[in-house]
Amino acid sequence: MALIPWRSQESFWDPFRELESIQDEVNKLFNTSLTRKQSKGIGSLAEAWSPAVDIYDSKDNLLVKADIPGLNKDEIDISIEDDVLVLRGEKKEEQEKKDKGFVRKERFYGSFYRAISLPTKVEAGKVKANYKNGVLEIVLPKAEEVKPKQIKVDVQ
Amino acid sequence: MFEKSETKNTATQNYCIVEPLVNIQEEGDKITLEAFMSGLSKEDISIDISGNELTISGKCKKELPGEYRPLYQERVFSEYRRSFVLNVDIDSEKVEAQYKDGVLTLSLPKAELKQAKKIAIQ
Repeated sequence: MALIPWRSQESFWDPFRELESIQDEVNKLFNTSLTRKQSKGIGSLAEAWSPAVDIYDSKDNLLVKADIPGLNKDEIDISIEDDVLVLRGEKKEEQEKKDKGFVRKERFYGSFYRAISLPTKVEAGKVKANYKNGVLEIVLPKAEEVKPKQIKVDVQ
Repeated sequence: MFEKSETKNTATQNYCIVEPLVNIQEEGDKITLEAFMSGLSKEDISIDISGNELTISGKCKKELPGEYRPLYQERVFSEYRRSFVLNVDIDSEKVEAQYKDGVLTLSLPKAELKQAKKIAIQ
């Protein structure tokens, strides 16, 4: 075996090292973004229990959609505090089903929490929510002062 | 019940297929599978058993009243799809499915074992 004298990494510039590190980064990107993370440990558990949310905007309203499958209406709690919309709730595991011959258990049980800071002021008193097919839809009317106003200018 | 490794989440520019999370329970002579796929309508869900392969899928309709425009989107999927390989025979005639609150529940009764044929040695 031939011995190669050790040299510090910084002492010479290797163009391929840079390329390799880019390749590593690209591989990492594809490995993580295109496959769903498997449920391992508490880290992904906490992550998954924050429901996925969409926010839409129209002239008069904001619309928030959240995927929360398999809950009862009364298990979801919606509140608005200082232009922050808070969704919270708890999925309780049915006792009779618990630990009965599970082959695979990916669903998360326990409480969830999601706070969404709203882009505009809303009229908290007029917020309407609807839960259908596992999707929570919340319509938040914008406050009068932030609605776009048309100003007519008379040209003389 | 094993998962087919071919079903990976794939994303093209505007079309994204996501594997739904599932709970699978095996109790006595039946298997219960719950798949969490919110925002579908019953008609858009399909359940397919061919041989020992079970595939569940559902296409999401993007229903959005015209005046809305997206500000922020995390729910970007267009389709749910996941396949499983069954390691027991399922009586596919007696499979029951239900979709409620975004949860698809399948009840898969195991096929009755055929009586082993005894062969007498002459």
